Amino acid sequence: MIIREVTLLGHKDHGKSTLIGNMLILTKTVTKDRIDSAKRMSERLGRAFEPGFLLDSFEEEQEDAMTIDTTRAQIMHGGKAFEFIDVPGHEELIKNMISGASHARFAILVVSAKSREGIRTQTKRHLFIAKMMGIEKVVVCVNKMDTVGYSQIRFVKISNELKEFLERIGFGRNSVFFVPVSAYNGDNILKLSDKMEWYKGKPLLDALSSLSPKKPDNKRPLRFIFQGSIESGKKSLCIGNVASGLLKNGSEIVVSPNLMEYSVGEIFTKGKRVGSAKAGENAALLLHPEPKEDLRGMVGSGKESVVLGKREFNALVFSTETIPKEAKIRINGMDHECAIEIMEEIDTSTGMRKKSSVIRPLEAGMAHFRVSSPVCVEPFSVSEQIGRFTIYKKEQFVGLGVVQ
Amino acid sequence: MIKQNVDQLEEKSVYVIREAASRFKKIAALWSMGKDSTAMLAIARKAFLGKVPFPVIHIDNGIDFPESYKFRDDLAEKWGMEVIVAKSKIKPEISGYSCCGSNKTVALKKVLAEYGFEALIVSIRRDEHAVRAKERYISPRDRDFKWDYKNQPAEVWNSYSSKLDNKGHLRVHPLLDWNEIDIWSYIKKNKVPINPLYYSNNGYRYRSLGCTHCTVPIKSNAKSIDAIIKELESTKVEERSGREQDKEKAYIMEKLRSLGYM
Amino acid sequence: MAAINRNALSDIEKILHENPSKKNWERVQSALKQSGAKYYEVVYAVGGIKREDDLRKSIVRIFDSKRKLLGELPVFSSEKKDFDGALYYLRKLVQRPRA
Repeated sequence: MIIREVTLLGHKDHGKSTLIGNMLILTKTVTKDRIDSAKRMSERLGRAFEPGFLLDSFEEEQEDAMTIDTTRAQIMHGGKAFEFIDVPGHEELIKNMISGASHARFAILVVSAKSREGIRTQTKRHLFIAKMMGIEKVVVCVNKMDTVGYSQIRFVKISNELKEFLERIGFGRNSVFFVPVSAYNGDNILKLSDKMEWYKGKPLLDALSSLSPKKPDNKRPLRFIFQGSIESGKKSLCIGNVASGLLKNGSEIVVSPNLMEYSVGEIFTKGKRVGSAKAGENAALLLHPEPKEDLRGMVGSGKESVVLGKREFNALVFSTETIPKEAKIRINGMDHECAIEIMEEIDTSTGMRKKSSVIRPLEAGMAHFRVSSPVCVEPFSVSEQIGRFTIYKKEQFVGLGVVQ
Repeated sequence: MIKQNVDQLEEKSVYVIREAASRFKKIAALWSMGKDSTAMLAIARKAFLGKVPFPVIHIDNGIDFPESYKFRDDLAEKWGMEVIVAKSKIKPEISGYSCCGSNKTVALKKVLAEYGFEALIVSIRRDEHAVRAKERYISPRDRDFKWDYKNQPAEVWNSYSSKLDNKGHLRVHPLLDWNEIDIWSYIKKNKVPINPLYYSNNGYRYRSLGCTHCTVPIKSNAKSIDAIIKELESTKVEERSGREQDKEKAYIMEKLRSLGYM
Repeated sequence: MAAINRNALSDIEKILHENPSKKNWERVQSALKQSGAKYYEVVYAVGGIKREDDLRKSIVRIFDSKRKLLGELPVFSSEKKDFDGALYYLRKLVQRPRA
């Protein structure tokens, strides 16, 4: 069963955890043990049973009724399996949100329709980050419809405002769906609610079922990312991952950035010798001649489409701390010292760009990176695994970047 | 419980184990002879083409099941594994968590100090317990083995953590994405040897293995892996229901983990 | 297979109850095999094991293949300052099936 990973997005207290919690209950996924345990916890805290408790398991999370770190829940619906990644909605916890969301291809944005809530900072910021990280489709749940009398006007108002923003940051019309829900009451989650007869779309779980994951990139140019080497008997084999394309036994590859040529003598996947390795597979390779250096972090490609090592490149950056002028980037397990020159700052809640030499925390921007030693990168839109990196200042995570 | 694509899960686990072994020369794995850690070692064997290239640590409190000891010695010989037996004492203030927790932690700390291991492969899964769902694939521990669960480092894409400080170590969790039923599917598909206690004996089997003191069997007639899988597909009870310690508060588990053991 | 010899296990019992050192546990291994011992069942002290002492109060019952009780052994090994659980020494046995 292929699992479709879906990250939740949204401002704090708009109902992300409650939504997942209630999905678990409505689809009868969660065991009685878990519901009982969550009920006991609610009683202990003197609260009414909160579906979000099924997920929030840290003592602090339940006591304060907030999600601190990402957590996951698996649900089956319509013959498909989903893994929902719940994330915190508080601004201070963005790096936890990024960690969770980085595993998903789809997202559910939860935005509260309640008056005085509505579209908030994190609502848009989360969407911006999601687009940056490669999330393909978003289902927008306009939540707490029960607090606004299930008003169609309110739903349309919020949807329209978001549509504009979503298009501006690059989500086309076919990649966004809008569903009015009440996470707490369960309206429009599993079944269409009789309280919103004006809504002609699908309930949430059905809308999710129509999202299909990307197929593996077998037809794209070969990109083999080296992880290191292992000994097997007297032989030394290189290990790595086929990020895209197909690696065939007997073929010739060029390893960048040094542009050394090797021929592939043997390929092992899943512990057995095979004729080829496809996208997504980890492989051990016997190369001729035997490499004299450690290939970790390097990229192997076919002669027709060689990856070039770059000393400088531009990247779209999101910062969790101020982006420093000197930092190190981590890409495919290797760290590279670099100098960063910021060109633009992008306001994540409007998508507006302006010339700037600074990217403040929790904003995005365009920056020019100059690395001390050549690194194999390609634009994120061409090759995700070699187009994305994280940025560190003295072992502290300060942001992420996607190559343009 | 959802059956996932075991091939895909295996690829991720192989990647994480190879990544950890490539970055940390001084690495070892914890082995409890349970199904998860044994499956993990089977995966490691495939990843390293027929051998387990790092030592395997068994934290032994002396009252593990005799079957587990035998299984340990037999498999260690068959697979040519270097097993480090770290002795822990049974001296708890309260039974249950503290027993498993504090004393195993002490034994583990000793081994880490003695051998200088920088990273430890631990076979926890997200679906085992709500708190485990918060773990990272590679997660730092400080010198006191504490897990700063409220302030975990970011783990974005395949950008894994480095050590926290010179005295700390890293926990590597290659099986995070696996469900209980996936482990069994893998064991069946790859004919991984498992502890005979998992099979039904006279109407009972062990779904989860701790030591003889606090592990209780469940009613079952499953005598083969197929039968175990079938049972899991229709089960409504959480895996660790036979472990007395789990009846205690959920967040004690988290305190336990933040103390350095599971 | 030799006839079940109750005397063999009572010798083992005597040795181990008197001095359950690691050496003695090793010494009795072949006698244990010859006694026809097949199943074990640990009976822990009432109230659970909280201290070394509780382990000393616990015992492990040994049965033959017909589930007949052959004898009772300690659950620990002890030698000067070294104290440890001893179920490792029963690793050739199998847990007694529940009735």
